Amino acid sequence: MKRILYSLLALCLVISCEETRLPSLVEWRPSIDESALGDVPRPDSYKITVSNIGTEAVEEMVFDALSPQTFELVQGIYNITVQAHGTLGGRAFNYIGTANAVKISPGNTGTTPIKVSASESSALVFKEIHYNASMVKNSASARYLKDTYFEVYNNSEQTVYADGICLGDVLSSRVYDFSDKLPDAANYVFMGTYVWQIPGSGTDYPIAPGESFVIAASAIDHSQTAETLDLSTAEFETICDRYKERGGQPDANAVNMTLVCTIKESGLGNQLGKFTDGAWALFYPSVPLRKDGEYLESNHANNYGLEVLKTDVLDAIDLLKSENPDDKRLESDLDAGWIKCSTTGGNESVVRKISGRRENGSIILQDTNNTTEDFTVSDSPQIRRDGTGRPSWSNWTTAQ
Amino acid sequence: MRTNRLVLSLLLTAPLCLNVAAQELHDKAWSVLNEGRALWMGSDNAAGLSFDAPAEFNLLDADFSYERGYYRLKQSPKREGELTFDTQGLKKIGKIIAWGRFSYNNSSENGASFNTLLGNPYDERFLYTAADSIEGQWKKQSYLLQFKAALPLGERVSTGLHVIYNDRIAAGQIDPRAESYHYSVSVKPALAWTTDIGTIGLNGIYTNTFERSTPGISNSQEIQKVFLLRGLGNWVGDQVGGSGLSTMYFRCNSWGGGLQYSWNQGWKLLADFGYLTDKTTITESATQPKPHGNTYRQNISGSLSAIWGEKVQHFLRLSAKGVKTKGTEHTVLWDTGSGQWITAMSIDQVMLRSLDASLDWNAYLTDGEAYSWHWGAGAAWEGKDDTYALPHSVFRYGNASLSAVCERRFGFSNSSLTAGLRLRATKNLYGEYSYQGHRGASAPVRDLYPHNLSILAADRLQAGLEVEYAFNVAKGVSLALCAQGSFLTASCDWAYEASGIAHRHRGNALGGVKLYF
Repeated sequence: MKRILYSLLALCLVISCEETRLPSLVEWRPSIDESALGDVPRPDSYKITVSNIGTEAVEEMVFDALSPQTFELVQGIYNITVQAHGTLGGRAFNYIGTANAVKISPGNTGTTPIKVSASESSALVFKEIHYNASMVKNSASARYLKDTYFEVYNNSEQTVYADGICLGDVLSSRVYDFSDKLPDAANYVFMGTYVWQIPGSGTDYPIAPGESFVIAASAIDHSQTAETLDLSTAEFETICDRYKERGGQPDANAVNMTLVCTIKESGLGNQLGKFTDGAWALFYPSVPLRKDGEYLESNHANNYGLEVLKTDVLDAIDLLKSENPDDKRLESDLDAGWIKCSTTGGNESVVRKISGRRENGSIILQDTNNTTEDFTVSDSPQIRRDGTGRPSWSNWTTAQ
Repeated sequence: MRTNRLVLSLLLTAPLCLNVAAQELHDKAWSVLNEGRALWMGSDNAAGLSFDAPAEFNLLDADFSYERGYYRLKQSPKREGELTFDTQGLKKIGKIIAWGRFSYNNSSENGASFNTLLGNPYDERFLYTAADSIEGQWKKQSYLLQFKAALPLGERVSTGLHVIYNDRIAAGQIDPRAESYHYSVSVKPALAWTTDIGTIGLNGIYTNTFERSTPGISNSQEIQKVFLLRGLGNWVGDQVGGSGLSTMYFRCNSWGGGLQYSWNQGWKLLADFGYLTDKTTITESATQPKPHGNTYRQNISGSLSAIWGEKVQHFLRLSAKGVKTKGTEHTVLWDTGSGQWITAMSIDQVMLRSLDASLDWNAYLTDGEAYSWHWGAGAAWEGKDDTYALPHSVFRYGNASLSAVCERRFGFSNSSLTAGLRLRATKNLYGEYSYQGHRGASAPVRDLYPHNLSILAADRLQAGLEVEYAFNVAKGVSLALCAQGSFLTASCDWAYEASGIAHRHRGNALGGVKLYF
């Protein structure tokens, strides 16, 4: 009897003696490689964002480049983004460096130096976006989806041209993976529904400093139908023959953008494809875009994407539907933050903050590549607010 | 209404009309004593039945129950209707004692939340699952098939086998919904041998459990966000629909055994010790398996049962059970080269512990093979102590309860009426939920855990009534109509959730028919 009892006890102990891997806190010291900055001035400090891939916990800290300090982190696998913003002689720079899937654990606290590069702030940036619909007049439930617009502003000191610039919605980098189709997929961002392009020979649509242009889903006076605004002075609209053929959509006098890619047709009543949330990128393609039917299939079957070089992206923004930053679609090198409106149908817009004014009074918009910091939500959408100029060639009113 | 009255009259007067010769009536009281006296029947060791088995019996039971109330955990329904069909029987075939049971259960649940995938959201082995805050509906069906046999090998040694097969399907009815298929097979081989100092038993247990749950949405325009739970309010985000969460697989293998010792010299005693350990792997997708986590559970249980007395027969049972579940969560990365998910890091973050103990005493004033009175009292302890390592979080509570039961059986010439009252009072001694992570404002931390703690750590009082009317319908065959009802009222300390004390209630009613044959 005793033997049996002792044998059973021993068996229980053997079975229960499993390897235990309890988590621990780790002292971690970031290391930054500034060799790629060239003549660009070094910033005094960086903002470091560490995102734990496993728990989705995000921590931000300011890192003094001259006297680097350590940070206490829960061991894990992290994506790390290093950012800074600086100016030199009136030129604005964004500094960014990323390191993905970095293992930080008790035996592995050293990190390969994170290489930081600097780029001048883009001339064209999103200034205001209205994306989450409004309500049909005298209706408690009917949402109006056709009043989406993007206002794009020339935040630089030089005249630039809108010809050939594209607008598309970006697939979530967390959900869709193309690495088995594209060896250097990390250098690309992938569009998921439509890509619209501004037509022109290259110099048809100049945008002077302090001027903006508006891309509307439909350049009409929506205030006649819904609790929203008049977009009849928009410069461009996303309407094409396909939608005209389907009827019910007037073709206003705004310049029609070209639907250059239909990656996935949207059933929504909005020519831009998405309205409640999404990530959007404004880009100027340096290489020809793929044609319909040639798009890459992601890791999820029958879900395709159009690759666009990250270096072609002029500006990108993450617009969320929920408070959950895990829904963020863009990688942090394109947009380190996100923003959301309070409710779908609330007729709200997201507006970029003003960081200063030029001598002529025109505004300088804040551009740190972090939407959370750069944008705010407005409950009264308005195009060309704060005295923004219209382009010289945009002198019509498009109302029918 | 007239038809109902007619049926009721026929049923109540059937004993008088059938002119059945007076004979022993099989009813609840007979069944309780018949099965209760055979202590080995309640153990995992089927071989012991060779030395102490109930008398042959067959029972067929069909009932419908309805339960509703706001005293419920978030994952439990506000309303539930359940249809059960259950049949079992024990037969001696030569030297072999065979027992079999089949149960079918069909339920419809309304108003449950924080469970997107599972037929049973409380199975701690399936820790890494998905949840959403939408109150939904579930339709569930389950089949349970059991077989137990004991074969003596000579005078002193016996072998036995207990096989259990459980099959369950569950379907969520509101987005984000899921179709879940679950089965488990248990095999428990056993040995028992009688010596001069009592009977010793030894059994093994192997169980294979599998659950496959496929999430989906009916409205493809509305992608549904879900929380992939990591324990104690920690979660990572995902979605159902639009290339989000795909089929989840829960696979578990359990091994264990038990050791029993019984004494039967005028009074009966059975000591039963059991140990079970299992490992569960939780993976998403069959084509590109993505590991979510593993759980390791150890389950130690022990019980001591004793029976003594003749005219007044006493049943005493002391039992305790401790369960420890460790959760290992994985951080996975997509490996472009191999086209597979690889586990970059595994950390033991969760430890769930529970300890339950109870002492129950029941006394039966016997009347032939049945009883005329039944009194009972019990005391129980339930404790939970769950922790998440980093960021450190705690979920724990301890409850003590006292219970009492009183039943009276009225025996007539060809029928019997048994009525009973049960009371249970539970006092909470401590409770705590503390969360230190970065999800403080999210629904699992804000709504799920505080609510569940306020329910689990509530002072509560439960009263139940049950009645059975049984009558002979043929030689050796009796029919019984039974009804049960219970009501629970709880003082939930809503400080865990908001502020103040809230009274919440839950009631259930059951009606059914049984055939003893």
